[in-house]
Amino acid sequence: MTVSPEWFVALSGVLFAIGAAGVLLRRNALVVLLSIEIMLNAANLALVGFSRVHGAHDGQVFAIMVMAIAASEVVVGLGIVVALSHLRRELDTDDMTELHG
Amino acid sequence: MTSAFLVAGGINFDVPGSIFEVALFALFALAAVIGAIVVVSASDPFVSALSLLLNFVSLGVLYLMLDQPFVALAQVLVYAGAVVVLFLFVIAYLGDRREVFSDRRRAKLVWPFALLTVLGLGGILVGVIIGSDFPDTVSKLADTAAGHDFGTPSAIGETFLTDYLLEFEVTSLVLLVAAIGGIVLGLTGRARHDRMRKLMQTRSADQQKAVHASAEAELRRTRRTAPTAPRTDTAADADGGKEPAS
Amino acid sequence: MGIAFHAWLAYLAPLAGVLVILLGGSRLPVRAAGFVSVFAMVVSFACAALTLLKWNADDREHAVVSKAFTWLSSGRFHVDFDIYVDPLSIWMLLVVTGVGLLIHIYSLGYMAGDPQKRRFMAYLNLFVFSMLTLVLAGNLVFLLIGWGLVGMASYLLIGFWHDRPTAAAAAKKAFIVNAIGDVSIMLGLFLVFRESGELGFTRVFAELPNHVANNSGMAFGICALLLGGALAKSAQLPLHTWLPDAMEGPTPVSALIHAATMVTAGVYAIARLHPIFDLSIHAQELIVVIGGLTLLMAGFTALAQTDIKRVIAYSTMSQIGYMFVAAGIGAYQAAMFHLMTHAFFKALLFLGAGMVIHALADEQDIRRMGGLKKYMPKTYLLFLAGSLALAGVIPFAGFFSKDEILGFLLASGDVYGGWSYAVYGLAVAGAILTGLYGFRLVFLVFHGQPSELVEQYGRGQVMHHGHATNEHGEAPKSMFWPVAVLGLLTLVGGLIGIPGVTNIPGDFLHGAHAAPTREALEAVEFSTAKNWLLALTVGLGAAFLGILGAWLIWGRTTTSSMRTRFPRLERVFQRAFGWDAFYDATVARPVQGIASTTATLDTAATAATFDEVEVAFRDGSRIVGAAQSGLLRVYAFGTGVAFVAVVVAFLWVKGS
Repeated sequence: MTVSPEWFVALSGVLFAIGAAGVLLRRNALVVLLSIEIMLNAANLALVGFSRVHGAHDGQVFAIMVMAIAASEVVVGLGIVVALSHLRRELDTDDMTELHG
Repeated sequence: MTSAFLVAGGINFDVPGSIFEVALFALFALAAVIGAIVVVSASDPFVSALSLLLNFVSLGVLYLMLDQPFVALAQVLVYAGAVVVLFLFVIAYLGDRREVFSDRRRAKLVWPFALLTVLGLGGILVGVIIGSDFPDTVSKLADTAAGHDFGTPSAIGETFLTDYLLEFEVTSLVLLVAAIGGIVLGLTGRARHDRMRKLMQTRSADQQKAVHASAEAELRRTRRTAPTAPRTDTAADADGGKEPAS
Repeated sequence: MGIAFHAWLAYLAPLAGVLVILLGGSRLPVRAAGFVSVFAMVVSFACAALTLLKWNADDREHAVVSKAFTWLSSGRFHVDFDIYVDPLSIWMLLVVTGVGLLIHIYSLGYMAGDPQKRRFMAYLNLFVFSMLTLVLAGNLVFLLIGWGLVGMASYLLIGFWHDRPTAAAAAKKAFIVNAIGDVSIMLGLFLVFRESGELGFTRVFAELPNHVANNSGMAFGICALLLGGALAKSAQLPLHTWLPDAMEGPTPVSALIHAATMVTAGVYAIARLHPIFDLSIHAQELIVVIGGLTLLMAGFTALAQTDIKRVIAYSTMSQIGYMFVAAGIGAYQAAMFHLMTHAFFKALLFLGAGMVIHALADEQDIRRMGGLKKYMPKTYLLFLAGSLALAGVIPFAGFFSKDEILGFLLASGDVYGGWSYAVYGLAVAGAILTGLYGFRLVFLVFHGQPSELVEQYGRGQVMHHGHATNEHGEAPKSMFWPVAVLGLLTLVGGLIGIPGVTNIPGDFLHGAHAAPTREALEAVEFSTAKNWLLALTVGLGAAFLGILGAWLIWGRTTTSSMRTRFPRLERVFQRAFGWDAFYDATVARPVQGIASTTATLDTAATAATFDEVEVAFRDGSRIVGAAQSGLLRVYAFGTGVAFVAVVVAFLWVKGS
């Protein structure tokens, strides 16, 4: 039995689904952000796996860019969470419906 | 061909097709999945953040198995080192804010749909991957034009500064904007605070009707369970008029 | 530092001024904004002067084309952002930046107290930048861009006091008339590009004669379209009606744009594109005829205007008519020489008028003026110098340049035949009129009995922005000195062009074939000294005749005695030969009629149908709006479902 690249990519699919479940099921804004990180990492794993399969660097380059964007997202996301925490006691996403139609 | 890092550490799993390689993958894949599940299911955000760390580190090892030491390094430095620590800071700053599953009714409504999506999503992704035609093993993959340089920082750096120069610069701009955004969001001047509160109040004014209705339902339930409760309709009205967030 | 470096710096300095003032906004104090704009002009003028010195030192035979970058590239079609430096563009560069600098300084005083002074200074800089785009353009596209930018800057400045309905209307009128010209010149440049396949001037001038036959219909078409643009910009018949109305703008604007620089863009364009115009003799004849008619018509109209600035505006049209005549017969250097001296003395006249207007608190009606000589002696002397130059009295600048044009006209009879004698007649008649209307203004404003308003001014009772207008003497220093410099230039500026003695414009502009005199004309130039002397004598005589006439009619009394003697003629002149009424009846009214009919139909149709549609959409959007619950998880769920659906669709397509 040998390790095939498709194992990595399949694992990335599983992790992505778990992350998506977190985004859908959890109402704590912080945990939602954590789940998004899992989804981003799953995508990264797929990128890196494909990069290895093709022996090209493009996938890795994109993985690193995803990391940079994820870092930016965390900064802004957490900034918003902290700003919101000054206004509410609970960080429940179901209560944040100010932008409803 | 597996990572030089592991070799340097005196551990050589690099026997193509060896059981060690499979075991290595199985161990860290399992760790990653368990980490992810705990992140999603833990009721304490602190536990979530720490298990996210487990997930990240496991992924880093998997990157190493894919011959990509630089990405693995970046993974550990950026995610484990910076992102998770930032999360922990914020969680500690906000104090104990466990999620309250008081509203089970609404949660029940969401669960089936969510599971459906997740299973559909995961099933399709994994199914597609299994159905595709991949090369046999990671360790037997042929080296490409990149040769021995594959995955090294210098090779990636070269790719960044030649083919992906524009993307590179744009990414740095995004980082700059995010840094400025973080500072702006972090401003806690009194005027800004007041302005935001005012905004929330005006926005929630039209929600009060809905809150009012739910407060009445709550009252009815209370009456059913505790018919001797000394509450009256007037008191409920006063309750319902309050801002829901406070 | 090469010559191109200085030219680029001269070109971009005003843009830097605009940007600093714009970005500074209200954080920049008004004084600082004024300083920034003047400083930008100082840099620009200094660099222009350095460009001239470099050119003379280098002794080049060809124009310098300096490319900054490729601005637009599509297949084989490339547009470069480049500048074209040759004696002609240096000449114009110096006029624009030099006069521009003086007027910027003047504006500091003239606009003092205006709440929008910052915006005004930024617009002035923007205008200079636009004009330099036009002047330095190295290809057809940037010539057109400069052409359009100048029109826009002019629009902004005419309508500077946008809360005055008349100013807003005048700005619109100028813009619309100029837009007609812009379309015309654009079509002309398109044709040039189609025929020659080139955009850069150097290549166009080399290639076009190979593709367009001499005196062919195409050559005439191209030249006529280009001429259409020049006519609108330079306010020549029949696209001249915007210029008198443009006097609604602040006086420095009138001096800078509507006298010294922008309106001469048409003349410059003809000189710049002279290898194209040389291809069609009929187009040249057209230029001469239009110039001749305009100079006469404008001269007559100026006789009967009562607004001091309108008189000067009509005189500008008339003087540009002379330049057109000169350009038309191929005496480009004479046209450019007159352009320069005209910039000096016309800016002087406008700024002098501005001092009068400023002193009398924005009064522009000459019937309320008179006898100002007593209270504003320095202004009087400067204004008198400008008027003498305008009339063409030796040794003022206008004498040398205008009489050079007259001399060329007389000499061109040998080349072009009899009709040029007819145009010569028109030009001499125009010279008499010039003396007449120029000194009508001098006599009515400065001589005679002081009017009631002027007496009030003398007693310091005329107030403006809360100050008596004679508080600083005749004018603030920043207003007086630029005018004094212009007065000096008016006095000595003509001496550079004494035929056969200094002759600088001729020699300089012949360099690198920038704007040489047409060969046929060059052969007869000064060949008959008798002709030349005759032209000078006739020109001078015409000027004195005009001044004498003015003295006889207006100099001895204070009232406008023309009204009593030739009432009907005066009415015709006052209405500027009815051009406005003509356009009103033939263009404005029909268009308004069509517009109001369409508006009525439109309202009826809309009421009948679209109200229903609107109601349906409003109800529909209310229903759809409910889906926007604001619940994050519902949104995420929707995204996930959509993603799954797309993947399934792809798999299905792939499978089938």
